[in-house]
Amino acid sequence: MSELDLNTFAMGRRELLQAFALLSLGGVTFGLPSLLASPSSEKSGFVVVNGWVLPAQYFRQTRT
Amino acid sequence: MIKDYQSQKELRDHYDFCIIGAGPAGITLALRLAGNGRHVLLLEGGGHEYSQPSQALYDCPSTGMDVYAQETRLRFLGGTSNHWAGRCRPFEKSDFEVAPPVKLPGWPIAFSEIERYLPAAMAIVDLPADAGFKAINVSMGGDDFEADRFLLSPPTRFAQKYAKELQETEGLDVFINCNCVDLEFDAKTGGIATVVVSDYEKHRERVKAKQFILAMGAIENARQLMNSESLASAGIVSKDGFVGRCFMEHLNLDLGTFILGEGQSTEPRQYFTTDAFVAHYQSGKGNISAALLEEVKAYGRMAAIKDFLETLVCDVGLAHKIDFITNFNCPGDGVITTLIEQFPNRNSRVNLLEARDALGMRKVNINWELVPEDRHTIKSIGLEVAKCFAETGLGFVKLDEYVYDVTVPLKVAPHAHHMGTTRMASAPESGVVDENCKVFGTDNLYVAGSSVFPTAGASNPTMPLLQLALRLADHLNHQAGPAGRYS
Repeated sequence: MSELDLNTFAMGRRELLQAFALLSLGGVTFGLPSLLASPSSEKSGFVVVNGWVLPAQYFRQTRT
Repeated sequence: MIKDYQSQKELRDHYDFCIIGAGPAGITLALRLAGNGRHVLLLEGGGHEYSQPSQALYDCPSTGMDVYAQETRLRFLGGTSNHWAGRCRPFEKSDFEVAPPVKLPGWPIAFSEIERYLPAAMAIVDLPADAGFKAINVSMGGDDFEADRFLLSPPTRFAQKYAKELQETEGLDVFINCNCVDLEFDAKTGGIATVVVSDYEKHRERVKAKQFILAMGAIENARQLMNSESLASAGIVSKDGFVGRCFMEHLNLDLGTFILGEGQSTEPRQYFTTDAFVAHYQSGKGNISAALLEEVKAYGRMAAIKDFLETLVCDVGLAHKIDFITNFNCPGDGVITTLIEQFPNRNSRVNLLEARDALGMRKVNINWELVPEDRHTIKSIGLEVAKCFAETGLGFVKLDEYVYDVTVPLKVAPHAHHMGTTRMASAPESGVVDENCKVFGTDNLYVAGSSVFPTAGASNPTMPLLQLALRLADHLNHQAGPAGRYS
């Protein structure tokens, strides 16, 4: 049974912040660099956007 | 023989057993006791059918969350089985072995004490003896949720099914429209000496019996005890005691919506928390049901969902992707509903009011209240279900905000499963009835029904309460000595 590993993004826009919720225990991780630096979130973490619980792998920053 | 107390004042002078309440528990007990040669009186406050004067006696305000106490119960012969849905899932060993994480004890008896009554209880509610409890889907995978297993009773309507037995069983007197309005405790003998009954014109008389059993449902069992001034004078019912406290329901709330994964079956699914999940999260148990929306079944999924799935997996830039999902307001393919265990809570309670009903009984208020541990259960189940959906390809879940943010007010409804108000315990410091369902401090007053449940689990309570009623019948028959009338 693995722990839920979720991260919150700080996108600089109030509505986006409000749309996110932290589901993991242990505190908020702000900022994309923090997310990208977290191996666990890349492999098996989840993020919550607007209530949708989604695999963090879809939110890696690849190309812009 | 079934008699109408409005017109037939033909009570015997004395009975072996007086059972108050003719719902599933009361009818089961009455037939078992009378079938063993006892003189049994079964009192039903309502008539053969629904009537407003009877139902009005259930009028009951509530504070806290609304339990719809008047609508979810039925006050006539057969009781609430008259609108029972029929879902049967037995209690498990873990229900009896794991204490709730709220500083109150769980069951003081072993699972085996009721397990042996399962076949008989199944027969009572018309479940085939050789039928295993079946799942409608396979497991979700992982060790958090298993496929829920249950059976559906036809459902059994107790008054109809047992009409002939109630009418013809020797030694059994069933009186309808016969309302118990007082329990008279005799401090010298340490037991209930008489109950006072009333018709709807307030004609009253006393009934004597050797043993008395309350089987009126969790709200009325507590209310009847709290209405007895003699029990209060003797200290058996007190303000600080447990009578009326620890009222529990099964939480009926939506977890959220879901988008079904590609190629997944569109049939409904039901899952149940595993013991490993409960142990890991120190949570309560829960049933989780996922079903497609009717319009999706009829017309297919909305185009917006295809956009969602494509956007999720493609390289469109993180900010754009998040912006898209943030503004995505499609309801999804289906909804996830639940039946979740509530932990016992002293402040979730039935308490006596000054206002009186048409027969002079004091009314009660219900304050249905949760503890933080209940929000933890909801959150844990919601998050893990959502995660399992994604991990197994079942789909993606959108949780309602109150599921993952415990500061958001909960939108919860009841399941009409009233439990806990006369909880079973090994000592009066933590309950109302002992291991044999006898009220602490009395020699001859018992309680039947789900009001004795010290914990709620997440199994529908009708079949377990029948198992306990059968166990109580065996206890009372054994205590009364060899079969045959002894009064």
